[in-house]
Amino acid sequence: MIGAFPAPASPSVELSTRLKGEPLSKKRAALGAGALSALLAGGIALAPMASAEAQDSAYAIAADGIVSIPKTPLVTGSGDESLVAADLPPGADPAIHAGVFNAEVSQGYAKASTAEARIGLPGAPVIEAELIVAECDDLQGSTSLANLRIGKQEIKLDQIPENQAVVPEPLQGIASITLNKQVEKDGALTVTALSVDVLKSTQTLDISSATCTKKEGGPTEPSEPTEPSKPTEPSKPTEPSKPGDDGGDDDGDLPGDKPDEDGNAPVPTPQPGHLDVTG
Amino acid sequence: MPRECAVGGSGRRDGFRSARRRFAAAAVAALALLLPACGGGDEGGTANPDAAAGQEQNGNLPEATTYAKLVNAPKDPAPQEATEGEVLHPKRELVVHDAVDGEPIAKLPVKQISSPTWVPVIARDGDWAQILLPTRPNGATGWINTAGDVVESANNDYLVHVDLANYSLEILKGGERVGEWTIGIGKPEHPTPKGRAFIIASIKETVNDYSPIVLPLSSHSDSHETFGGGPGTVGIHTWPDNSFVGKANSDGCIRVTKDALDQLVKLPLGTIVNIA
Repeated sequence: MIGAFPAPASPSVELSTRLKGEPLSKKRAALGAGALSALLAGGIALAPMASAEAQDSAYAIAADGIVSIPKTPLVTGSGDESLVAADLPPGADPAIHAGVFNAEVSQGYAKASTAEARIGLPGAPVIEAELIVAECDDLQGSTSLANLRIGKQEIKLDQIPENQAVVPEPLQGIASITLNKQVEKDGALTVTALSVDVLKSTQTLDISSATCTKKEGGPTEPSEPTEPSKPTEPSKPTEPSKPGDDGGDDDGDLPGDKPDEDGNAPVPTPQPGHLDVTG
Repeated sequence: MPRECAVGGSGRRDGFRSARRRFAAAAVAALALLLPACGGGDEGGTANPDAAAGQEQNGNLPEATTYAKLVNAPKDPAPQEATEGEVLHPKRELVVHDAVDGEPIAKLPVKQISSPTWVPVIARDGDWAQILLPTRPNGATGWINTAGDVVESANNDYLVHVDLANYSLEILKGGERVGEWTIGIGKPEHPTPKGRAFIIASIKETVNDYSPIVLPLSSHSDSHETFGGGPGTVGIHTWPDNSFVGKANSDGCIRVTKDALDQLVKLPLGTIVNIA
């Protein structure tokens, strides 16, 4: 039986500043996993929020119940934290393993990602995913999931509607999983990419959760409520896409991912992020 | 709505222990999940097999980003030459090969840092395109199969020339000079690497404050294996004062005046920066 995991005597946790928003490097993650089997201290990156006022925040994982994990790594207000290769609870039979947890927050923006995750909660099917991302930008939320498996079934996702319930039939009334859970409260939106509820909240688990408020000042980002109409096809002939393929792409409809109407490369839109270049 | 339509990929990792699912064990096998199917449908259906980058055999390929090093990547055959101007954005993760129909060496993700991936094409062979990669080593290239609707292709008339000896940076459009500026470059012990690089992203910096926008290039410092917390990526950015102008005192980056940066940030991602 899993207990609330104890704070290890000497946590070996790599907290590193990573570039923001970058899909996690498999190489890095693999290196991290090989080099460290990081333990998690209950207190890591914890900045308990006393204020009821809505704040931008993000965390990669939190659980309550038989398995209890504080929000980790939790970033509130602004900042960027990563945790590489974590087993929770630490020990021979972790309920949760992840290659990298990442949380980043700035005013009006929050993003949480979990890479190479494997979650085996008591009473729930094993959940595995290469990447679980929740992003919240100026009260707009979104979730992306790559290579999600629940139990033995691979879940193929295109667009994930808000609050997409996944109820494994044999587990009805026992466990439910919500994808892209979106909750508005006190002027803030919370997007939780994957939320598991076992036995009416006896055990809950949230993976990749981002809370954002409205962006202050400055021009608001152009919102993209709908798929922009497709521009003229590139000059190069391409084969027709297969029926059922929406022809969309996987990048979350980033600005500047299509040529302009003349087929010219678009002027880029600088994206919030961070990379330490060589000065 | 952002999404990553993942196909295949076991997701299994070494070191994973047996699942704790005693309660659910019997049920798991019979899971029926109420979810819409992936737009791409079943495996093998797409016109381009490389669009299904999550196939088993590709599950462990490194991602072609500024963090990766691809020792088996073919070298840029003509690191000082101009390109035809084609740039590509992968609409979904694509497999990068070492030759036309060659061995997979990496996956090309749809994003670099927080920007959409755009890579310059340096050669074409039918549907196959040889592209510059944002990875180490400098001059790394790879081939992607563009058959099917897997890429956005665009034309890019811009080119940047950096002349290290003259501390100059010049922007050209269609061969015509847009502007030229005096710049700062890497100090002798940490020189700015030469060769044909490209702009991989446009970052509105949220941590460092020396430059409001940083344009990381595909190239990396040969002397800094890492720098700060980053992988030694060479970048173009400005600096709080003009002490750098005409000097070799950076750690490899190209420092430009605010005036130059204002122009450089308008250049498409994938724009070649020819450093000589």
